[in-house]
Amino acid sequence: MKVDKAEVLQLIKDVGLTIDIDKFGYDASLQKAGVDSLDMANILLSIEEKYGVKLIDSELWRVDSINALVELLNRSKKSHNV
Amino acid sequence: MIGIQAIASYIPSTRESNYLKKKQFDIKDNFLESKIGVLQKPRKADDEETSDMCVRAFEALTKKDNVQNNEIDCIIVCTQNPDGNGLPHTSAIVHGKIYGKDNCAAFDISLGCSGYIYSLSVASSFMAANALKKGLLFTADPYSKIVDPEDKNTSLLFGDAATVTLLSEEPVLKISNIAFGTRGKDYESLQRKGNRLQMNGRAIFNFSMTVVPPQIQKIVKSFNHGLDDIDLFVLHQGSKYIVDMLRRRMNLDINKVPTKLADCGNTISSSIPLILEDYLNRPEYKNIVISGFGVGLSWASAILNRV
Repeated sequence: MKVDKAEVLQLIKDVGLTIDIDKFGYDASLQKAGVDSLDMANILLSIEEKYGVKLIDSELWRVDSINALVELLNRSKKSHNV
Repeated sequence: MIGIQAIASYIPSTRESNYLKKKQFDIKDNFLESKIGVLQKPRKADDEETSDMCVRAFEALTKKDNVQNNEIDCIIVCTQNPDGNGLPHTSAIVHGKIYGKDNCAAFDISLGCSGYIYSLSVASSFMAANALKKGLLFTADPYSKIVDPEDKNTSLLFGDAATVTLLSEEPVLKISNIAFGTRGKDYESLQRKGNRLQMNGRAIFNFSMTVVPPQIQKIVKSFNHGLDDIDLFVLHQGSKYIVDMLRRRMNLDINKVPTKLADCGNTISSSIPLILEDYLNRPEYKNIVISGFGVGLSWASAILNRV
Protein backbone atom coordinates (compact mmCIF):
# COMPACT_ATOMS: atom_id res chain seq x y z
CA MET A 1 0.00 0.00 0.00
CA LYS A 2 1.32 3.43 -0.94
CA VAL A 3 2.16 5.96 1.73
CA ASP A 4 -0.15 8.96 1.74
CA LYS A 5 1.47 12.42 1.76
CA ALA A 6 -1.13 13.84 4.16
CA GLU A 7 -0.16 11.10 6.59
CA VAL A 8 3.50 12.09 6.32
CA LEU A 9 2.58 15.75 6.82
CA GLN A 10 0.74 14.81 10.02
CA LEU A 11 3.69 12.77 11.20
CA ILE A 12 5.98 15.77 10.64
CA LYS A 13 3.61 17.96 12.63
CA ASP A 14 3.55 15.41 15.46
CA VAL A 15 7.33 15.67 15.83
CA GLY A 16 6.73 19.06 17.45
CA LEU A 17 8.20 21.61 15.07
CA THR A 18 8.28 25.25 16.12
CA ILE A 19 7.28 26.33 12.59
CA ASP A 20 3.83 26.06 11.01
CA ILE A 21 4.50 23.47 8.33
CA ASP A 22 0.93 23.82 6.96
CA LYS A 23 1.89 27.16 5.46
CA PHE A 24 4.20 25.41 3.00
CA GLY A 25 3.25 23.16 0.11
CA TYR A 26 4.16 19.51 -0.39
CA ASP A 27 6.90 20.54 -2.83
CA ALA A 28 8.38 23.28 -0.65
CA SER A 29 11.92 22.89 0.65
CA LEU A 30 11.72 21.78 4.28
CA GLN A 31 15.10 23.37 4.95
CA LYS A 32 13.95 26.73 3.59
CA ALA A 33 10.76 26.41 5.63
CA GLY A 34 12.94 26.28 8.75
CA VAL A 35 13.30 22.55 9.41
CA ASP A 36 16.83 22.19 10.75
CA SER A 37 19.08 19.12 10.78
CA LEU A 38 17.92 18.01 14.24
CA ASP A 39 14.23 18.27 13.31
CA MET A 40 15.00 16.35 10.14
CA ALA A 41 16.69 13.55 12.07
CA ASN A 42 13.62 13.34 14.28
CA ILE A 43 11.25 13.32 11.29
CA LEU A 44 13.23 10.54 9.61
CA LEU A 45 13.27 8.45 12.78
CA SER A 46 9.50 8.86 13.17
CA ILE A 47 9.04 7.74 9.57
CA GLU A 48 11.32 4.74 10.05
CA GLU A 49 9.46 3.70 13.18
CA LYS A 50 5.99 4.15 11.67
CA TYR A 51 6.64 2.44 8.36
CA GLY A 52 9.27 -0.10 9.42
CA VAL A 53 11.84 1.03 6.85
CA LYS A 54 15.49 2.03 7.05
CA LEU A 55 16.31 5.32 5.33
CA ILE A 56 19.97 5.33 4.31
CA ASP A 57 21.98 8.58 4.56
CA SER A 58 23.22 8.25 0.97
CA GLU A 59 19.62 8.27 -0.29
CA LEU A 60 18.65 11.34 1.69
CA TRP A 61 20.96 14.01 0.34
CA ARG A 62 18.45 15.33 -2.21
CA VAL A 63 15.27 14.72 -0.21
CA ASP A 64 14.05 18.12 0.93
CA SER A 65 10.27 18.19 0.51
CA ILE A 66 7.32 16.16 1.69
CA ASN A 67 6.70 14.87 -1.83
CA ALA A 68 10.33 13.78 -2.17
CA LEU A 69 10.12 12.07 1.22
CA VAL A 70 6.94 10.23 0.23
CA GLU A 71 8.53 9.14 -3.04
CA LEU A 72 11.62 7.81 -1.24
CA LEU A 73 9.45 6.13 1.34
CA ASN A 74 7.38 4.32 -1.29
CA ARG A 75 10.57 3.17 -3.01
CA SER A 76 11.98 1.95 0.31
CA LYS A 77 8.77 0.12 1.20
CA LYS A 78 8.75 -1.54 -2.20
CA SER A 79 12.36 -2.74 -1.88
CA HIS A 80 11.62 -3.92 1.66
CA ASN A 81 8.66 -5.97 0.42
CA VAL A 82 10.85 -7.52 -2.28
CA MET B 1 26.59 -0.70 51.91
CA ILE B 2 28.70 1.45 49.59
CA GLY B 3 27.00 4.46 48.02
CA ILE B 4 27.42 8.13 47.13
CA GLN B 5 28.43 10.32 50.06
CA ALA B 6 29.46 13.53 48.28
CA ILE B 7 30.09 15.01 44.84
CA ALA B 8 32.29 17.94 43.84
CA SER B 9 33.35 19.35 40.52
CA TYR B 10 35.76 21.51 38.62
CA ILE B 11 34.63 23.59 35.68
CA PRO B 12 37.40 25.64 34.03
CA SER B 13 36.69 29.37 34.17
CA THR B 14 37.70 30.01 30.56
CA ARG B 15 34.67 29.92 28.28
CA GLU B 16 34.36 29.69 24.52
CA SER B 17 31.20 31.34 23.22
CA ASN B 18 29.11 29.55 20.61
CA TYR B 19 27.66 32.89 19.51
CA LEU B 20 31.05 33.58 17.93
CA LYS B 21 30.58 30.52 15.72
CA LYS B 22 27.20 31.57 14.27
CA LYS B 23 28.66 32.99 11.08
CA GLN B 24 31.16 30.16 10.62
CA PHE B 25 28.40 27.54 10.74
CA ASP B 26 25.52 29.66 9.37
CA ILE B 27 23.31 29.15 12.41
CA LYS B 28 20.81 31.37 14.20
CA ASP B 29 20.38 32.24 17.88
CA ASN B 30 17.23 30.13 18.04
CA PHE B 31 19.08 27.02 16.87
CA LEU B 32 21.79 27.54 19.47
CA GLU B 33 19.45 28.31 22.32
CA SER B 34 16.53 25.94 21.73
CA LYS B 35 18.20 23.04 19.95
CA ILE B 36 21.89 22.77 20.84
CA GLY B 37 21.31 24.45 24.20
CA VAL B 38 25.01 25.18 24.65
CA LEU B 39 25.76 28.90 24.71
CA GLN B 40 29.33 28.66 25.91
CA LYS B 41 31.71 25.84 26.68
CA PRO B 42 34.33 25.64 29.45
CA ARG B 43 37.82 25.11 28.08
CA LYS B 44 40.78 23.85 30.06
CA ALA B 45 44.11 25.62 29.66
CA ASP B 46 46.44 24.15 27.03
CA ASP B 47 48.91 23.03 29.68
CA GLU B 48 46.22 21.69 32.02
CA GLU B 49 46.11 17.90 31.99
CA THR B 50 43.21 15.55 32.69
CA SER B 51 44.81 14.67 36.04
CA ASP B 52 45.05 18.39 36.92
CA MET B 53 41.31 18.73 36.40
CA CYS B 54 40.73 15.75 38.71
CA VAL B 55 42.95 17.33 41.36
CA ARG B 56 40.94 20.57 41.16
CA ALA B 57 37.74 18.58 41.64
CA PHE B 58 39.31 16.83 44.64
CA GLU B 59 40.29 20.21 46.12
CA ALA B 60 36.65 21.29 45.80
CA LEU B 61 35.59 18.08 47.56
CA THR B 62 37.92 18.69 50.50
CA LYS B 63 36.36 22.13 50.92
CA LYS B 64 32.81 20.83 51.12
CA ASP B 65 33.39 17.47 52.84
CA ASN B 66 35.78 16.51 55.60
CA VAL B 67 37.72 13.97 53.53
CA GLN B 68 41.47 13.43 53.89
CA ASN B 69 43.77 12.05 51.20
CA ASN B 70 45.22 9.46 53.62
CA GLU B 71 41.83 7.80 54.14
CA ILE B 72 41.19 7.12 50.45
CA ASP B 73 41.37 3.38 49.65
CA CYS B 74 40.81 3.55 45.91
CA ILE B 75 40.97 6.07 43.07
CA ILE B 76 39.19 5.44 39.80
CA VAL B 77 39.30 7.80 36.81
CA CYS B 78 36.75 7.43 34.04
CA THR B 79 38.20 8.98 30.88
CA GLN B 80 38.95 8.38 27.22
CA ASN B 81 41.22 11.43 27.06
CA PRO B 82 43.79 10.56 29.69
CA ASP B 83 47.09 12.26 30.42
CA GLY B 84 49.54 11.60 27.61
CA ASN B 85 48.42 8.47 25.85
CA GLY B 86 47.15 6.73 28.95
CA LEU B 87 50.46 5.27 30.06
CA PRO B 88 50.70 5.47 32.98
CA HIS B 89 47.05 5.41 33.94
CA THR B 90 45.72 8.84 34.89
CA SER B 91 44.43 7.53 38.24
CA ALA B 92 48.04 6.82 39.29
CA ILE B 93 49.03 10.37 38.34
CA VAL B 94 46.09 11.75 40.33
CA HIS B 95 47.11 9.53 43.26
CA GLY B 96 50.57 11.08 43.14
CA LYS B 97 49.31 14.63 42.85
CA ILE B 98 46.94 14.35 45.83
CA TYR B 99 49.57 12.47 47.88
CA GLY B 100 47.48 9.34 48.29
CA LYS B 101 48.62 6.63 50.67
CA ASP B 102 50.53 3.58 49.39
CA ASN B 103 47.84 1.01 50.15
CA CYS B 104 45.40 2.64 47.75
CA ALA B 105 44.09 0.99 44.57
CA ALA B 106 44.08 3.07 41.40
CA PHE B 107 42.82 2.27 37.92
CA ASP B 108 41.17 3.92 34.92
CA ILE B 109 37.93 3.03 33.20
CA SER B 110 37.67 3.71 29.46
CA LEU B 111 34.10 4.75 28.78
CA GLY B 112 32.42 7.93 27.57
CA CYS B 113 28.90 9.16 28.16
CA SER B 114 27.70 5.96 29.86
CA GLY B 115 30.83 5.93 32.01
CA TYR B 116 29.50 7.38 35.24
CA ILE B 117 26.93 4.63 35.73
CA TYR B 118 29.32 1.83 34.75
CA SER B 119 31.97 3.32 37.03
CA LEU B 120 29.59 3.64 39.97
CA SER B 121 28.81 -0.06 39.61
CA VAL B 122 32.46 -1.10 39.23
CA ALA B 123 33.66 1.13 42.08
CA SER B 124 30.98 0.16 44.58
CA SER B 125 31.33 -3.57 43.78
CA PHE B 126 35.14 -3.39 43.93
CA MET B 127 35.04 -1.58 47.25
CA ALA B 128 32.49 -3.98 48.75
CA ALA B 129 34.41 -7.06 47.54
CA ASN B 130 37.65 -5.81 49.04
CA ALA B 131 36.31 -4.19 52.22
CA LEU B 132 37.45 -0.70 51.18
CA LYS B 133 35.91 2.14 53.16
CA LYS B 134 36.37 5.26 51.04
CA GLY B 135 36.89 5.64 47.32
CA LEU B 136 37.09 8.48 44.81
CA LEU B 137 35.45 8.14 41.42
CA PHE B 138 36.63 10.83 39.02
CA THR B 139 35.13 11.70 35.65
CA ALA B 140 37.26 13.89 33.38
CA ASP B 141 37.10 13.64 29.61
CA PRO B 142 38.27 16.92 28.05
CA TYR B 143 37.11 16.61 24.46
CA SER B 144 38.81 19.91 23.64
CA LYS B 145 41.86 17.68 23.08
CA ILE B 146 40.20 16.06 20.06
CA VAL B 147 37.39 18.32 18.80
CA ASP B 148 38.00 19.91 15.40
CA PRO B 149 37.01 23.59 15.73
CA GLU B 150 35.90 23.52 12.07
CA ASP B 151 33.47 20.63 12.61
CA LYS B 152 29.89 21.88 13.09
CA ASN B 153 28.71 18.48 14.35
CA THR B 154 30.95 18.48 17.41
CA SER B 155 32.54 21.88 18.04
CA LEU B 156 29.31 23.43 19.38
CA LEU B 157 28.63 20.67 21.87
CA PHE B 158 31.43 19.56 24.12
CA GLY B 159 32.73 21.28 27.25
CA ASP B 160 35.61 20.41 29.59
CA ALA B 161 34.85 19.54 33.21
CA ALA B 162 35.79 17.09 35.94
CA THR B 163 33.85 15.66 38.86
CA VAL B 164 34.68 13.53 41.85
CA THR B 165 32.23 11.30 43.69
CA LEU B 166 33.11 10.18 47.19
CA LEU B 167 31.91 6.61 47.71
CA SER B 168 31.71 5.32 51.26
CA GLU B 169 29.76 3.29 53.79
CA GLU B 170 27.97 6.47 54.85
CA PRO B 171 26.03 7.20 51.68
CA VAL B 172 23.44 9.83 50.94
CA LEU B 173 22.34 7.90 47.86
CA LYS B 174 22.56 4.16 47.30
CA ILE B 175 22.79 2.63 43.87
CA SER B 176 20.25 0.08 42.65
CA ASN B 177 18.58 -1.44 39.61
CA ILE B 178 21.41 -0.89 37.15
CA ALA B 179 21.09 -1.93 33.50
CA PHE B 180 23.76 -1.87 30.78
CA GLY B 181 23.78 -1.99 27.00
CA THR B 182 26.29 -2.06 24.13
CA ARG B 183 25.85 -1.82 20.36
CA GLY B 184 29.38 -2.30 19.11
CA LYS B 185 28.37 -2.74 15.48
CA ASP B 186 27.67 1.00 15.35
CA TYR B 187 30.92 2.11 17.02
CA GLU B 188 31.88 4.24 14.00
CA SER B 189 28.99 6.64 14.73
CA LEU B 190 31.18 8.34 17.34
CA GLN B 191 34.91 7.79 17.27
CA ARG B 192 38.34 9.35 17.33
CA LYS B 193 39.99 9.09 13.93
CA GLY B 194 43.38 10.67 13.27
CA ASN B 195 43.17 12.27 16.71
CA ARG B 196 39.97 14.07 15.71
CA LEU B 197 36.47 13.36 16.95
CA GLN B 198 33.95 12.26 14.33
CA MET B 199 30.23 12.01 14.97
CA ASN B 200 27.29 10.92 12.85
CA GLY B 201 24.65 13.10 14.48
CA ARG B 202 21.64 11.32 12.98
CA ALA B 203 22.92 7.89 14.05
CA ILE B 204 23.54 9.09 17.60
CA PHE B 205 20.10 10.71 17.73
CA ASN B 206 18.39 7.51 16.52
CA PHE B 207 20.39 5.42 18.98
CA SER B 208 19.55 7.67 21.92
CA MET B 209 15.84 7.84 21.14
CA THR B 210 15.43 4.10 20.66
CA VAL B 211 17.54 2.58 23.47
CA VAL B 212 17.22 4.97 26.41
CA PRO B 213 13.44 5.07 27.05
CA PRO B 214 12.98 1.26 27.13
CA GLN B 215 15.98 0.83 29.43
CA ILE B 216 14.69 3.46 31.85
CA GLN B 217 11.20 1.94 31.77
CA LYS B 218 12.72 -1.49 32.46
CA ILE B 219 14.70 -0.44 35.54
CA VAL B 220 11.80 1.58 36.95
CA LYS B 221 9.50 -1.41 36.46
CA SER B 222 12.03 -3.71 38.15
CA PHE B 223 11.99 -1.25 41.05
CA ASN B 224 8.21 -1.92 41.25
CA HIS B 225 7.45 1.69 40.43
CA GLY B 226 6.11 3.74 37.53
CA LEU B 227 7.79 6.72 35.91
CA ASP B 228 5.51 9.03 37.92
CA ASP B 229 7.07 7.74 41.15
CA ILE B 230 10.53 8.96 40.16
CA ASP B 231 11.40 12.39 41.55
CA LEU B 232 14.19 13.28 39.15
CA PHE B 233 15.56 12.06 35.83
CA VAL B 234 19.20 12.99 35.30
CA LEU B 235 19.85 12.26 31.65
CA HIS B 236 23.20 12.55 29.93
CA GLN B 237 23.37 16.05 28.45
CA GLY B 238 23.95 15.07 24.83
CA SER B 239 22.28 18.26 23.61
CA LYS B 240 19.16 20.17 24.61
CA TYR B 241 17.29 18.63 21.70
CA ILE B 242 18.20 15.08 22.75
CA VAL B 243 17.17 15.71 26.36
CA ASP B 244 13.93 17.41 25.24
CA MET B 245 13.03 14.63 22.83
CA LEU B 246 13.78 11.88 25.37
CA ARG B 247 11.57 13.69 27.86
CA ARG B 248 8.84 13.95 25.24
CA ARG B 249 9.11 10.26 24.30
CA MET B 250 8.74 9.21 27.93
CA ASN B 251 6.13 11.88 28.65
CA LEU B 252 8.10 13.16 31.65
CA ASP B 253 7.34 16.33 33.61
CA ILE B 254 9.74 19.06 32.44
CA ASN B 255 10.43 20.01 36.07
CA LYS B 256 11.81 16.53 36.72
CA VAL B 257 14.35 16.63 33.90
CA PRO B 258 17.01 19.25 34.62
CA THR B 259 19.50 20.47 32.04
CA LYS B 260 22.90 22.01 32.60
CA LEU B 261 24.04 22.68 29.09
CA ALA B 262 23.97 26.45 28.56
CA ASP B 263 27.15 27.16 30.48
CA CYS B 264 28.81 23.71 30.54
CA GLY B 265 28.01 21.96 27.29
CA ASN B 266 28.13 18.19 26.94
CA THR B 267 30.81 17.14 29.41
CA ILE B 268 30.63 13.40 28.56
CA SER B 269 30.90 11.25 31.72
CA SER B 270 30.79 14.37 33.91
CA SER B 271 27.35 15.54 32.75
CA ILE B 272 25.37 13.33 35.16
CA PRO B 273 27.42 13.96 38.35
CA LEU B 274 27.49 17.71 37.56
CA ILE B 275 23.70 17.76 37.84
CA LEU B 276 23.55 15.24 40.70
CA GLU B 277 25.83 17.53 42.72
CA ASP B 278 23.04 20.14 42.74
CA TYR B 279 20.45 17.67 44.07
CA LEU B 280 22.55 15.52 46.40
CA ASN B 281 21.55 17.31 49.58
CA ARG B 282 17.91 17.96 48.71
CA PRO B 283 15.96 15.34 50.67
CA GLU B 284 12.75 15.86 48.68
CA TYR B 285 14.40 13.97 45.79
CA LYS B 286 14.14 10.40 47.04
CA ASN B 287 14.26 8.28 43.90
CA ILE B 288 16.49 9.49 41.08
CA VAL B 289 16.99 7.87 37.68
CA ILE B 290 20.36 8.43 35.99
CA SER B 291 20.98 7.44 32.39
CA GLY B 292 24.09 7.83 30.22
CA PHE B 293 24.44 6.98 26.52
CA GLY B 294 26.90 7.61 23.72
CA VAL B 295 30.28 6.45 22.45
CA GLY B 296 30.60 2.68 22.03
CA LEU B 297 27.78 2.73 21.39
CA SER B 298 27.13 2.18 25.06
CA TRP B 299 24.34 2.99 27.44
CA ALA B 300 23.52 2.42 31.11
CA SER B 301 20.86 3.51 33.57
CA ALA B 302 20.37 3.16 37.32
CA ILE B 303 18.14 4.24 40.16
CA LEU B 304 19.61 6.13 43.11
CA ASN B 305 17.63 5.91 46.36
CA ARG B 306 18.03 8.37 49.19
CA VAL B 307 19.19 6.66 52.36
